[in-house]
Amino acid sequence: MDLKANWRVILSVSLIFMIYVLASIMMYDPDTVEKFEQMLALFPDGMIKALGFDTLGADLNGYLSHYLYGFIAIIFPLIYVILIANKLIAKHVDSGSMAYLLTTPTTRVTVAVTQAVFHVFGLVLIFVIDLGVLIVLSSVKFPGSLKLTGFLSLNLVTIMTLTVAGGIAFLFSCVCNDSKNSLAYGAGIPTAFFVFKMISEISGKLEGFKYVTVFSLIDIDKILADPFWGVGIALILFSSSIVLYGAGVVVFNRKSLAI
Amino acid sequence: MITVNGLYHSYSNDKKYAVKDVSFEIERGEVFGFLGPSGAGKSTTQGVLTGLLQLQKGEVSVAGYNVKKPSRTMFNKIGVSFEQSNVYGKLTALENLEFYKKLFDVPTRDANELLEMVGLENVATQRASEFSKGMKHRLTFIRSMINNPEMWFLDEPTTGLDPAIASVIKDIVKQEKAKGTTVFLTTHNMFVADELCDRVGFIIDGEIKLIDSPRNLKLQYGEKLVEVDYRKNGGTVKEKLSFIDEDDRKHLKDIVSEGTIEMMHTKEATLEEIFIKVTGRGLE
Repeated sequence: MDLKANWRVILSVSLIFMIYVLASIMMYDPDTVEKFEQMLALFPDGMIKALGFDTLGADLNGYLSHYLYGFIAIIFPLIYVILIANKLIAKHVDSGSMAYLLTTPTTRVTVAVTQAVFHVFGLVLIFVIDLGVLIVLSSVKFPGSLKLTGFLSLNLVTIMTLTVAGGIAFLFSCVCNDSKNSLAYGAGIPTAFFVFKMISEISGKLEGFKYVTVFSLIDIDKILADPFWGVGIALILFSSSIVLYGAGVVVFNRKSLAI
Repeated sequence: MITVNGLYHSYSNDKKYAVKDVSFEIERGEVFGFLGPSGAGKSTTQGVLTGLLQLQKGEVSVAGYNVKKPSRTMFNKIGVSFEQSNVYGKLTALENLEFYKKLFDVPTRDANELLEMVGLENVATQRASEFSKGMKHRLTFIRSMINNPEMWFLDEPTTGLDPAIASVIKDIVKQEKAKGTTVFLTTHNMFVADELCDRVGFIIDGEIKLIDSPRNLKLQYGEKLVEVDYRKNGGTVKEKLSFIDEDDRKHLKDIVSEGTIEMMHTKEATLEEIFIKVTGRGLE
């Protein structure tokens, strides 16, 4: 039922993300990376840093990681997680369809866990599709250039960070009885985290913002240099998301539904 | 079938109760009407009975199950149709019913037969998003019958429907009652309650003021009068005559024997009039 209702969102986000994936690979030329960086230097420094384009890296890994994972691979999947989190629980409660569903033998825990699994599944699907295209295309165009260990670790951390953001959105979707509040908090907090990440990268003076956002854990250079550090971070993020989704399920199981 | 003892419910978890000290029992096969104006506590009571609202204080059992910890099997025995209809717009009418059939662990009814009962058989394969409000209401109504419920909760089942469809809905409720289904009917429509209910409870400001059968209430609160229109001297005379007064009874007997009566009505009170007498407030 949810796949039928939300597949368009998953497809749209995947396609938009894919356009950037394709563009980044098509634009890549090992001999002109330096020129590209010189071109970017013409733009305001703060803007380039905020978008994560400040260091494109000398090789394919560095180039793709900085071009995609500083901004694009976060913002579009983030739109998915906050929009769908609201649709999965709060919107059903708001419209009254949840009340009908819960007067059948389907338990609240089953409903909430199913929705949570779908939420994460959609996010992973977006990355599987786009990452698959990226790996295939880069191996065709630049055979052997992409070092998979570091790149997969970066993707793992990005997915887990977005799962934490999704967990926050899902928790508020379970707490609130209407879409308005669910979106206000469930979208507001993850979006604020993302804005803090961008602000923290503008200049050294604003670097402190990185301590109040989960997105600063997507430390591209550090993960590429030490992929296993990335795996450790991903595990911590995974545990946090389990707590957030679990809290959502517990709250939903105990709440009184508006009727 | 339903036992409620000292039920209290507050949405703000303070002493502002939406329902307070509500107690009643409903026998198997009975149609019990819960009458009250908007905000009286009808839907809150129904919410607790159907497990949507947590039981905060009091004892409530439905179909033998304690709703404090409702079991999955309890929901196999109940059917619910809220005032606000809700269907999956992307699915057809038939798919909506087939989807709900899968949610129950008991034998279910034939979806096509249900659609036919409310005149939706010709739009069975049409997407529910294209339905009018009344059609969605009918689909929601029959969906609540899909599991052959022993205990059927109906919230304003005829509100917003045209008289012909409302009549079909009322007939279905009567048929289900005849089969032994227990019905908890929440409404502010006194005519529906009068026609369908074995007993009614008046609720206002979260408290039950009175429970009795519509007949007993009418006898208790109605005027012992008959209004009669009859022909006399080339014109029509209209009179109100008492059943109790000896002279009025004799006069009525004379009018009947003359055979000049055009219209005659007993003046029993309507449920709405009784509600106003008992609670001091109207049902709207």
